[in-house]
This record gives sequence, structure tokens and C-alpha cells, in this order.
Amino acid sequence: MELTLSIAELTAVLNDLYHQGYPCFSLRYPLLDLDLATFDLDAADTVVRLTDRAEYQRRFEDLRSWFQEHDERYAIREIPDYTAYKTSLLQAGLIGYQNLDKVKTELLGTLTRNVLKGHPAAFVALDTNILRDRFFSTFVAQEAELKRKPLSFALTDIIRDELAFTYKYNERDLSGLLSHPNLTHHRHLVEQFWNQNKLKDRLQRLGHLEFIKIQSSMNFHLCGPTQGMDPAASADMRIIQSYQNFATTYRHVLLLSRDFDFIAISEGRPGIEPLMAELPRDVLPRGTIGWESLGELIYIWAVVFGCVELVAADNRVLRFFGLWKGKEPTHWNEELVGLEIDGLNLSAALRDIHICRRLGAIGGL
Amino acid sequence: MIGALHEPEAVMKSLITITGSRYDATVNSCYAILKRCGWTPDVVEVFHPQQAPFPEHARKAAEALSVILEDYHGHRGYKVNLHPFEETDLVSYSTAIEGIIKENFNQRIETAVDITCGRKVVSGVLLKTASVHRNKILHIFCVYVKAKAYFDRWYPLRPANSQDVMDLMTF
Repeated sequence: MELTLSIAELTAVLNDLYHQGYPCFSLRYPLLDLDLATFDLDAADTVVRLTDRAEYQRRFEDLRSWFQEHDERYAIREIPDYTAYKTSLLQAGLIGYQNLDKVKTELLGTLTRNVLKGHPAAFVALDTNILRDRFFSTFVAQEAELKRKPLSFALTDIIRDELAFTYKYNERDLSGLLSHPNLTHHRHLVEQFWNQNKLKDRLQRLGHLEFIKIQSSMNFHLCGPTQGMDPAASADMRIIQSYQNFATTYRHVLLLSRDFDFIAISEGRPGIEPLMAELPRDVLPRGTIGWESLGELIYIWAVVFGCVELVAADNRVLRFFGLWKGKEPTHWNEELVGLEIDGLNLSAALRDIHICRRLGAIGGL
Repeated sequence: MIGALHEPEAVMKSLITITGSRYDATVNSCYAILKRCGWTPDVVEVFHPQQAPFPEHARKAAEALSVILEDYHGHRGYKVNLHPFEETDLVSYSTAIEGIIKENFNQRIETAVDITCGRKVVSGVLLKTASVHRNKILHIFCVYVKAKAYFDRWYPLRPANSQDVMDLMTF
């Protein structure tokens, strides 16, 4: 890969485009030949227009039916559907949970408990889906009040096991994808995916990264597997049991999930306060986001879609890769994207990134 | 022929700045001036209080500024000078600034001051001294940070719309 950039370094690229007179561009998913969104960088915020749901689904269904007809039904699993697209907006922090205010109030409420006054120590525990949503990165780590007074977290080992990722693309998978006549000319993109995580595993891996981030936060407790637990019990049951065991020693656990059944099973258990994080019902087609969120979005889309193209008004292109040949665990941990420049001049941004890396090396920010 | 036509010599530029409790603020401020205004100093005069920890901050600022200037100047060379001063003796501090401004003027070096960093009284004295000698000063820069969320990043990694560079000489 020509160059790998962190999310923060993507800001230098966006700044450069803005100063060069490219305030408007789209982010395109080449395998569906579809603009995922268009952007208008502005002095205040970025205006974003999301793709039309019907159009997304139409292109996806076209591809799905072709793959089914040609006995390549596994290939379509590697093309994110509209639900994955919608979830990616959540993962990038572009949209939040429907009841985010309530969630925030409850999270802050755990900070008001005082063990010196006899309150049980309060911990926030998460279900696997909340980790996959990147709630910690997009909300907890960004929220000013929670930066000042960090939350205490408890996570169970069972969740880490659920977030395992083992399936990678082989030659057969890639040739299956490339068998579609509209995709053959994307060979150079798809070939970058070789020996990298498949779509489902990539989503798992995003959750796994969240686990690691939370684990390295200040107040963290790792709940081990439950002794004597029926091995045939469902994963949800084992997760809840693990948290409940943790809560028995005079602790209060605020347990966040976006699974109705998980919440229902958790209710009425001593020490556990289940809290439902509600998925947004509708996604507004147009809105504004900060420049910072745009960097997060590029990273998430690069990972979820494998590759997205930034297409400027004059059709010059930047390609952001979330997968590339030789992508290593450190690239995942540092949340890097691969960059391929096709026509645009990014010399100013690259110079600044080079300088910032040198500044970082001398013990900078 | 009246005279030989010479290539005009590049005008030397000198930036007078301050470092305070955050050395990176001084570096970022200089970086912003360089990027936004296209004004790349050949010499940076960094004033700093002489009690700890400011000399260490100033040393770090000089090291970081050298990284930036080295990249932008290439073979032309650059210089970062440190000037400790006693915070309780603001007259001497002002006199030292005045000396640099006058010396630069005599040597036809363009001078700008950056009042963004440092304690209020320290940047205030710099502004006052620069104002007194405004006929010898080209720019009085002040970086206006609109969003504090990016304080932990170097200037180029902050969104372009999160801060502005103002030149008070244009007011």
C-alpha cells in the first residue's frame, strides 16, 4: 500500500482538498458503483447527503440475483447490504441511538454513586452489539463530561470470545466476487483483499478493537467465565450470568444492549440494571457533521466496504482501503486506512503528515 | 546600461514569539502562520520565562520548530533563538523585544510578532512593544482557536475550519 493514514491524518487530506478548491466530493462504493454519500465541506460544518435507500437496495438486489443465478451465493455475503450501511453510520458516529439522551443520563448517573457514602461501586457493562457499534469510540470517548470523569467498565471474557475473527478471503472467494461482469474491472481493488478478514469478521474485529480500547481505559474490570455454568446455555445467558456474578459482591452494573431479548433476560436480576439502546428508526437523507466525523466515516466505510473512493467534482479520485495485502494487526489497532492517489495532488497534505510524524517522534502531542 | 539587473534577494523573515505553559501551542501557532499566511520565518525568536518549567518548554518548542522549518526551508537554513526573561522584570523583557525589532529593521529583515501564546501579561507586553514600533513590524499575528477539541493535535491535523489566523496590523 502506497501510504497508510490514521483517522487524525485524514483531516490533513480533507484540509488539503478544501484549500485546493475541492469542497464538494462523494464517497463511492465501487463494487456497487454507488455514491454512499456526497459532502460539501463548509467553513462551519460539512453538509452530507446520504444515498437513497431504494437505490442502494436496488443495486444490491441486482447483484444478489446475479450471484445466485451463477451459483456464487457466497459472494453476495461480502457485499454490505443496506442494514450494514445504516449500521456503519452508527459505527462512525454519524447517527446515534434513538434514546441517546436517556443513555447519557444513565451513564452519568453511575458517576454520582459514592462508595464512601455506602453506595455499591457502579460499573457500565456492555453487550457484544454495543461493542460492534463502536459506542465507546464515537460517544463515550468524545463526550466532554465523560472525559473529565471516566466511567468504570466491566466486560466479560465471553464477549471477547464472541468477537473472534478467523475467516479470511482466499483466491476462490475473490474470483467469486470478480465473476460478475460489472466487477471484473475492479480486479486491482479486490485483489487487495486477499488473506484479509471477510465482511462479518471485519465487523467483529471493530468490536474487538473496542474491547481492547475499553480494557486499556482507567477503571476496568474483566469478568471471567462463570463456574458451573451449563455449557449448553446460550451466549446471552452466559454473558448475563457473568455480569450477575460480578454484581453479587456489592456492585451495581448498568448493562447496555440493543437486543430486546437480552434486556428482557437481564431484568430483575440483583445488581443488574439493564438499559436498552434503541436503534434509530429512520436515517435522515441530509444533515451536517463535523470534519472530524468525516474522518471517522472514511475509516469505517473503508473497513466495512473494503475500499471506498473519494470522487472530486472533476472526477479525480482518492481510494481509501480498509483492507490491503499485508494489513497487519498493528494497522488494525492503530485504525489506519490505506491510501491510493489517482489524479489528485496531495503533496501539501503528505508533507504535513510527514512533519507531524516527525514531531510525534520527538515526543510531541 | 544604467545598472546590472540583479535577481532580487529573498527577504529574510523573523518571527518573535512566546512560549508558556504549552510548548506545542507556540509550535502550532507558528505552523498556522506558515500555512495560512504563507509567511515562513527564517529566524524564530522564542521568548520564555526563565523559571522552571518554561526553559524546558522553550527547548522543546525550538526542537519542534526546527523540524518544521527544516522541511520548509531545505537548504536555505533557519535559526531558532531562545530568550529567557524574568517575569517580574517586564521592562527588560520589552527592551529585549525592542532590540530585536530595531536590529531587524536596520538589517532589512521583515519582522512579525505572534501574540497567541504565553500568559496574558507576557503576550500583552509583546503586543504593546510591537504596537509602539508598528512602523518596523509587518504583521502582528494571533491565532484564533474556535474549537478546543483539537488541542491534542498538531496544526495540520486539525480541521481547517477550527481556527483562524488574524493579522492585527490589518485592523
